[in-house]
Amino acid sequence: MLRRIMGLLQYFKYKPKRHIHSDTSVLQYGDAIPTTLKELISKLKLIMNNDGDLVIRSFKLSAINCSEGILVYINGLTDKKSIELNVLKPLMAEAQENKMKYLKNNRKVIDIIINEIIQSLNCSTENSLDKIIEKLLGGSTILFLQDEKTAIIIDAKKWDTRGVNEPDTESVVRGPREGFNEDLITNITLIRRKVKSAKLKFEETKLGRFSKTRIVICYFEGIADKYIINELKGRLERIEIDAILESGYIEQFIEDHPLSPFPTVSNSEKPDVVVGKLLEGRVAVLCDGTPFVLLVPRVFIENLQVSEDYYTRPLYATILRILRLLALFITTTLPALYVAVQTFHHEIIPFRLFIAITAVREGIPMPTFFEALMMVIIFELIKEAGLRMPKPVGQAVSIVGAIVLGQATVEAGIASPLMVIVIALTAITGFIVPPLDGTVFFLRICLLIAGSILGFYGIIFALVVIFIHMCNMKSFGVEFLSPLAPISDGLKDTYIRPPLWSLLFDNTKFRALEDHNPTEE
Amino acid sequence: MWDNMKKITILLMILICILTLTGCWNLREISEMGVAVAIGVDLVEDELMELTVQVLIPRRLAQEGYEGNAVVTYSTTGRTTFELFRKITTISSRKIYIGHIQLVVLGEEFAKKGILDTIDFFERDHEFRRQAHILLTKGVSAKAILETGSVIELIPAEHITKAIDNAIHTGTTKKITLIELFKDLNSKGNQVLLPTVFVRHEGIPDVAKDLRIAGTGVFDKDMLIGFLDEFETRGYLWVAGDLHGGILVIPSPKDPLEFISLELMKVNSKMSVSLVDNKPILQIKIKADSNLGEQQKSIDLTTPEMIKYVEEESKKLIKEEILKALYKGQRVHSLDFFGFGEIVAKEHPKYWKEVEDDWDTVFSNAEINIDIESNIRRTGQILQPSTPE
Repeated sequence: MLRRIMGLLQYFKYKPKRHIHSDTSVLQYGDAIPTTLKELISKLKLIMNNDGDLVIRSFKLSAINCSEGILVYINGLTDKKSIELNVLKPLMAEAQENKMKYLKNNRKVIDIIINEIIQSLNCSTENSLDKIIEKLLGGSTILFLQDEKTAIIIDAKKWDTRGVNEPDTESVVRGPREGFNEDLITNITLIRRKVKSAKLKFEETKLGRFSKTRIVICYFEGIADKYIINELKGRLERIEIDAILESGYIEQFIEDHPLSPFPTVSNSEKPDVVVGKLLEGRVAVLCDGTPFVLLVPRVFIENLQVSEDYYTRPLYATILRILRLLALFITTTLPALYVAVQTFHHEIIPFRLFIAITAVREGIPMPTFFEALMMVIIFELIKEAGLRMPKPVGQAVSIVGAIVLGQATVEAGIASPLMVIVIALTAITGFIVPPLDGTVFFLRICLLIAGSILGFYGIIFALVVIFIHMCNMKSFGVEFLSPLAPISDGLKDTYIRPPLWSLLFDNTKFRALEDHNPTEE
Repeated sequence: MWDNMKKITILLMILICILTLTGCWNLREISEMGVAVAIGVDLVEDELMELTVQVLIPRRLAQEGYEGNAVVTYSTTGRTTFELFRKITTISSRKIYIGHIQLVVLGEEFAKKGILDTIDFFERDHEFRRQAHILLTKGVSAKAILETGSVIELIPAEHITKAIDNAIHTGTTKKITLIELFKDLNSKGNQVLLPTVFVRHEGIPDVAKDLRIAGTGVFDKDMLIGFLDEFETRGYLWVAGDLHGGILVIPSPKDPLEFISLELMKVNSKMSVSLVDNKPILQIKIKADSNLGEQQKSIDLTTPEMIKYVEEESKKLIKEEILKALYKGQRVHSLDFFGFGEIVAKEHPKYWKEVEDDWDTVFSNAEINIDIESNIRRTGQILQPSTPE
C-alpha cells in the first residue's frame, strides 16, 4: 500500500526529459530550391502530397525578360484579388521602355521585381525551401523564377474569421462589448487600439511541432516585471507538443501548480480586461485560433474582481466585491455547514429553527450527508447537461432539473425542502465567482466530506489545509495570496475598490519576489 | 525515497491524531433523536426520583392543521438523573436529546429534599442546555405540570417559558436560567430564589391556562424552605435590582377606593452595607421612574401638588413591599436571600471573616436604611381626563 502511494507520488513528480528539438526534425525537404521550375513543381507536389488546395500558377514574366515564373499558394488562405491586381498583373504587363533599362544595369531580377514591379505591401525573399514551405502553409504566396535560387514571399493572407462579437463568458452591464475572436491579428489590433503606446510590446513565437501555432507574448515595457517575462518565455520554450489548439494547452504547460484545484493562470476574452491587466504589470499570451488570452501571474484576489468594478462607482463596486467574497464562502462551505449542524452541532441552531428542521427532516430516509451529496451532484449534472446541450434542449433540461428533481424529490420525501434551499443557494452563489467554477465544486465536496465526518472541526481543519496550500502557492514568482499574505503595497485595491483618483494608476499591484532585480523604470 | 517515507509517516500520524483525539463527537441524525423540550423532577415513594420528559413529535410539527400538542411525555422512576435518562430511552423509540431543553421543572417535594441531587447532572453533562428556564412547583407535581397541554402553543413547554418571560414584566416573579442557578448556588450567602408555578384551582390542571406563574421559592443552601408571594417577590426584586417593569397601584387622592396605576419604566437600585460599631446597617437605595398609566377618578393629576402626591404614595407602596420581603427574610426564615452577605464579603472582608458562619443571624438583627426616590416622568396621551358634565 505504502509503495503504491509512493509510486503515485513519483508520478506526480514526473518531469519530462527534454529533447533537443528543432523544426527540421519533423519537416525536412532539403534546403536548396531546385533550379529548374519543372523540378521545383514536382518537388512541391511531392512535399504537399499532391494536395488539392495547392495552387501553382505558371506565367511569363513579360514585364522584364519574358522568363518563366510560378506563383504558388494554398487555396483559401490567400487574398486572391490582391495577388491578381498587385502581383500578377504588373508582372505580366507589357514591358515598357523605361523598365527595360534595369536589365542593362546588371541588377538582379529579384530586386527589380520587389522594388519596381510588385505593388504588395509585404514582400520578402527566402532561400531555404523548408522556411518557404512553412510560409506557404501559413498563407503566403510564393513567387519562384526560372533559374533563381531565391524565392519572393508575398504576404497577402485572407481567410474568413468570425466577427468581433460580444463574448458569452464575461458579459457586462456596463463596459465594452467587444471580445477577441479566433484570429491572432485581429486580437492584437484590438489590444493596440486600446493603448497607443510604443511601450506595449508584442513578441511572437511559434509553438507546436505540426501546428506551428503563432503565440504572441504581450506586455508593457517598464511596467511588467522582467523576471516574469523571462520566466514566461523560458516556460513557453520548454513546451513540446504536436499542436496547440487552444490557449488552455499552453496554460497547462506553464502553470505553477498543475495539481492544485486553484488555477494560477487567468484568461479573458475581452480586450479591455486584458489591457487593464497589462497596465497592472501582467503579461498576456495570445494564441492564434482562440479568443481566450492567457494572463500571468494570477493571484487569488483576482477571482473576486471584475472589470466592471472599475467602470461603476466605487461604493457599489466595493459592496459587490464583499458580496462576491461572501458568495465564495457560501458556495464552498454551506452544504458542509448544513450537514455538520444537522449531524453534530444540534445545539447551535436556535430553538425555533431547530423545531422547523426536525419537522422537515422527519421521514427522510437518507442520512443528511448522502442527501447533501446527492443534491450537490444532481445539480452539477443538471448544469453540465444544460451547458452541452443545444439551447432549445437546454431549456428542457432546466425544466427537468427544477421541477422533477427539485420539487419531486421533496414531495417524494427523498430530500428535505431545507436541503433544496441550501443547494439552491449554493448553486446561485457558485455562479457569482465564475473564474473559480471547477475549483469551487471540488472544495465543496471536500468540505462536505470533512464536515460529515468531523463536524465543524472537520470543516475548520479542511479550511486550514486549503489555506496552507494557498499560502504555499506561487504564480510566476508572485505569492498566490498577495497582496493579502504576505501583506504588500497593493492592499488598497482588494476587498475595497477605492476611487480611481486615489489609485493614481500606481503599478505596484504586485511584484515578483526574490532572486531577481526589481523592475527598471 | 526516505524523504517521501518520512512525509507519509508524518501525514499518517497527523491523520490518526485527528481521528482519535477529537474529544467527544457524535454523529446523530436529527430524524433519529427524541428532542426533549422540558424535563421535570419529582420525589415519589421510597425516596425515589421520578423524571418526566416532554418530547417533541416531529411528525405532528409538520402536519398541517393539527390542533393538539406535538409532544408526548415519558415518566420513569429511579435513583439518579442519569440513570433515569437512560431508562427513558427504553420507553421511547428514540434516544432522548437534551441539547434543546427549554424548561426544567422541579417538584416542590423534591426541592424540599435538596435540588443538588439533580443539579450536578445538569452541570456536568456537556449537552444540557444552560439557557433552560427553571421553575418550581407549588402544591402540584412537576409531572402534572409537564402533562398539561396548551391551547395556543404546539409545544406546552413553550407556553410556560413564554409565560415566565412575560411575568418578569409585571415583577411578580423572577426569571432564572440554569446557568444563573449554578452561579447563585456557588455564591456566598443564600441567594437562590426560583419562580414558582401553581394551579389556580384544586386538582390536576387541564391546560396551561389553568397554571399561574407568580411568586418565588426561597432556598436555604439547596433546600426549599418557603415561598414568597407576588408582592414579597416584588419587594425582593426592588432590592436586588432585578425588576424590569410592573404596575404600581396607589389610592386616588380623593377616594381611597378608586385607584391610580403607574407604569414602572426604569428602576435603579443599589445595595450596600455600612458598619457602625461593628454592626452592619443595610442600605437600600432605589430610584424609580414611572409613567402615569391610568386613574379611576377625574382629577387633574398634572399639577405639581398632585404629582408630588402620586410620587409620595408610590414611595410608600415601594417601601411597604420592600419591608414585606425583608420581614420574610429577617423574621420568618432568618435567611439572607437578598445577597447582602456577598456585599459584606466584598466591602468588609475582615468583618465578613468574623460573621461568616453566623451571617444569617447577624442579618436578621441588622438595621435597615431604605432611601427611595420616585419620579413621574410622563402622564400619557391626554392632559385632562374626560369629565362628564
